[in-house]
Amino acid sequence: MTQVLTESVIFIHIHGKPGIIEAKLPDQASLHQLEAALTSAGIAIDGEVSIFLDDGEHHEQGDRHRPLAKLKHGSRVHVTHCKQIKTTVNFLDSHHAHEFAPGTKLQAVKDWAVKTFKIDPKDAAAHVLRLCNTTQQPATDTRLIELVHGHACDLCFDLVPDKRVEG
Amino acid sequence: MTEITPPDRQAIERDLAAPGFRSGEIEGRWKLRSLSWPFAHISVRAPERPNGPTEFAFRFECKGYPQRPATAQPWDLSAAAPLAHKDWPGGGPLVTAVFRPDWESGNCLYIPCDRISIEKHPNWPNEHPARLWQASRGILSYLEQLYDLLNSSDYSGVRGA
Repeated sequence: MTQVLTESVIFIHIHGKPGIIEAKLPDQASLHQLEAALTSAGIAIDGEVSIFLDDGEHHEQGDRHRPLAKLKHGSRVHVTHCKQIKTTVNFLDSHHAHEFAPGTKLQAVKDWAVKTFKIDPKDAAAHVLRLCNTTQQPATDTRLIELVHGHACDLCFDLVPDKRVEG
Repeated sequence: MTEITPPDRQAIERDLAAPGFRSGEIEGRWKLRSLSWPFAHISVRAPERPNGPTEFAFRFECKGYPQRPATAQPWDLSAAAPLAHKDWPGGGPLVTAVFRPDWESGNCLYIPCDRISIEKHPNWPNEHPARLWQASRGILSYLEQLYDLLNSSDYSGVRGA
């Protein structure tokens, strides 16, 4: 009886580089197999680099030959030296900071900001996160690690009203 | 004689097969339904709302892609025709400002990343710089805005009659 081997597609983001790279892994892949796939894709894995899956709080470590429980078809794999991203959000005259996992989506940062600044949910819908000192308002599914520059492990946002499109 | 695929068609075909678009498909945010040059039919997921659909389809016209913005209108895939106005997305001020059947007879969306709309609003690059078409990101710069609008609390379902 022929065994059908299935594969999962993963999308790799490398700290400081734009865009994502598509790769394939066998189902039930281990950290060892993931690292081998990254190396095959030309991505250097050394002691300074950590690998995060999706919005996982902690980088992958431990038994390198055990299947990665959270790896699934379509997973994002973040390759970075940052263990966390220190994220500051400014709102009106106030600001708060929090350390998020590198793969955290911008929507989760907004949700945290709304709660932290005690903003009414009805008002929250009409606000967006804008990168400090820019006009950029990244999409809500953007991962924090996609927004950092150079070797930085921190980000700054202004929570501002979402300007309605009109005349 | 061998037909040469024009560069704009090559570019959209490349971007629809690229990781940025594909990851959105696998995550269920959007899905390419068909590509019949110069039109790409793409559906965008919508969250559950009373009497609301699970997705909205859009027909993107992509001539001059990616330097020239695409233009898009809500589309009825089964009828292969523009979506009836009553079935357009509805909701609060942010959603209804963009999905305007009264604008250009419903042939495009009222959003700065749309080719037809931006050509008629020379003030928009200054007023809405974050919403403009980005040639470097192509169709994703349009799709992400549609996804965020439909998946916000400002979206409430279909407009109705």
